Amino acid sequence: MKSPTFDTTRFSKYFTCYTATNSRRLWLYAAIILITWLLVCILPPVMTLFSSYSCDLPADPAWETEGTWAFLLLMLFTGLSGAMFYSSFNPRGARVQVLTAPASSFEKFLTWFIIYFFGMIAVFYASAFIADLIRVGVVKAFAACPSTARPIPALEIFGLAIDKPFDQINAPDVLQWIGFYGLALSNFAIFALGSIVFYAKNAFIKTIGCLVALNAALSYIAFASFKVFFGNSSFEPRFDPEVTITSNCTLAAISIIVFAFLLWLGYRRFKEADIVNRW
Amino acid sequence: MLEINNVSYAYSRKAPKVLDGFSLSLAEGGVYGLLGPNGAGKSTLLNIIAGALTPATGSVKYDGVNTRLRLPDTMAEIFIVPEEFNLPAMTLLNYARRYGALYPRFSLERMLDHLKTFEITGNPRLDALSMGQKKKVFMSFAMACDTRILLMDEPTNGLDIPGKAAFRRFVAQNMADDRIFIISTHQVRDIDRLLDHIIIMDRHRVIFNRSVADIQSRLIFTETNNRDIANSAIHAIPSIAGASVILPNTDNSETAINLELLFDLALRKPDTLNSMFNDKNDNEL
Amino acid sequence: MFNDSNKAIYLQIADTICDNILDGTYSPGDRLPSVREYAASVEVNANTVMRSYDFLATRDVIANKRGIGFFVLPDAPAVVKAMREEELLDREIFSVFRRLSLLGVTPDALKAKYEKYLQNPQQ
Repeated sequence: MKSPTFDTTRFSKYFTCYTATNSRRLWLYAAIILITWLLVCILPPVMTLFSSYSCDLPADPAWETEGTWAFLLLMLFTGLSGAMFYSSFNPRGARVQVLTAPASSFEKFLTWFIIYFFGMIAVFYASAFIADLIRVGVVKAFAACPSTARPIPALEIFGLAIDKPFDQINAPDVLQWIGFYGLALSNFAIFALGSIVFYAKNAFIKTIGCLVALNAALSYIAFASFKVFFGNSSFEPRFDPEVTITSNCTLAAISIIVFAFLLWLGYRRFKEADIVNRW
Repeated sequence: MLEINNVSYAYSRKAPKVLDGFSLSLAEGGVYGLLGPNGAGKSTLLNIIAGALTPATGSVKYDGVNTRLRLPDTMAEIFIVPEEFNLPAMTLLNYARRYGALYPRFSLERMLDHLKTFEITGNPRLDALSMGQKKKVFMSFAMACDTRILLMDEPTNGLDIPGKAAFRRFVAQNMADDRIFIISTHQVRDIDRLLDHIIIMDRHRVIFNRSVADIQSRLIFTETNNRDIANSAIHAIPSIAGASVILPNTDNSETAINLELLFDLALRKPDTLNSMFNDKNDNEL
Repeated sequence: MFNDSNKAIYLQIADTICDNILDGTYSPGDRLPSVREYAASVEVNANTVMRSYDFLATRDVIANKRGIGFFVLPDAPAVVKAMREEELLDREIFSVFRRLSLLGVTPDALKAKYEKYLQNPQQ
């Protein structure tokens, strides 16, 4: 008897069906990620006419740029991916097939998660490294001092701007890293939830609107309550990489919990969804 | 066995109920016609049966399992062909292969057979087809999935005349003892000879629900130019021969059912119609 | 043969099959199309066709060989002729008789017309 929730054969059939149906859109999305990385890596050197590549530099100047961009782009693409999570709900005529396709809700949800999260991450990092290699090639061809240009170490990209060699990494760094990824995961989950709540149209924009509003509201509440409790001392929110292990732990834990919770909420909403939704 | 039990639905709290405590048991081996004017609630009922809409009250169970749970094994035995649907940007064969894999008894050979009945050949891109062709393709796919329950919402809309004939052949050929077909339409002439059981809906209520055998045993449908007969008939509509009439079947004869006439009576005087089916024996006292 | 299009569909189908037996389309011993095939060709519910086949089987026009199909019985043409005769002379003709009697046509006048027809039958 097949489990009603998960069956490997049935899951793989649904997975291949989904990717085959959406292959055009998914390839396009992958291309957008690659092109974005290409722009990020290649434009700066080209725009500055390779002037930053003088011979007395200790490190390739692109690394810091790309490392910082890595985090920003990761937030951008986790948001976009999240907003595409329930994209099979539109157009309306396709909705009944999504809901009545012979696979469990869990299998459908898992398919979308694998594609829009893990798939996106894989394409994201592959694009980063490809774009970087191309940058190296281009710089070497045109810069005054070719030897400065070297491919970015894997750690810089994966570590989202950790610029230490591998053997010097300590606990705060790891926790910061978990924190950053936690943020990215939560971001994905927020936009995925937005994608089903705003299933009708423009999920991405509406979710951003919600986030901005929520952020403004929470910031105001934080500021106001700080004022109430701490009188006139200065309130300086900052994201300090040298902050203690405890804060990074907290950040990491909160992010993972938020991520799991929002994803679960989205799954619940999906199970309640009809072809015409009244929520 | 498909059991619809006390199902109600309204599109919003303010809107009137589209279905109100509707119950019906459907046994395998039948083609059920769900007839009614546009907006009567037929699509809503079909969507609830398929598990695509959640009823406000009651449930629909197939072999004891609530269809709204959308369990994969249940979904593999129910297929709904909606009135409007989208086909993805894929070639026909690719679509058949990928989506067919989800239905255990799907057969590509059968699908190609059905497509031939509809005169569709080759391997076109699905999003490049006209609406009528898309319908034929989707219905061919639906039939080839060999689901126990097949729901079709206005299947003849958008089909040309040869297409409608092909559709009728299609249903006649594929109905089976272990299958339930439910066909909803407001074009009763398109399907009247295919039906075993007739359900008529109007303004969100079910106003008539009888088997064809039942109808034939209690009513006769005929043409007459005798004005007295026409005036005393249960219902009459002018026709070329004088009038098409419905009369009580008093001598166990059996005529074909004039479904348009029956439908017309049901919409105008449902109580009169239903009173013919109450087991009252007027001679007893 | 004029088909009374008001008859129940299953009877109309039975009539058509009987016509086909009389005109030789189906000969004794021939296998009829399967219920499903016949239903598809005339675009009618298969249960209706089943009813037609059962109707003819009870009147010994055709017989069902389980698992193989329905076959035209050897005596079928004679049986059909007898059935038709009974239907015509014991039932259908009454509507004509009724009109003749209303118009006051005598049996002799009717006999004369029939004899004249037999000298020059029109198909």
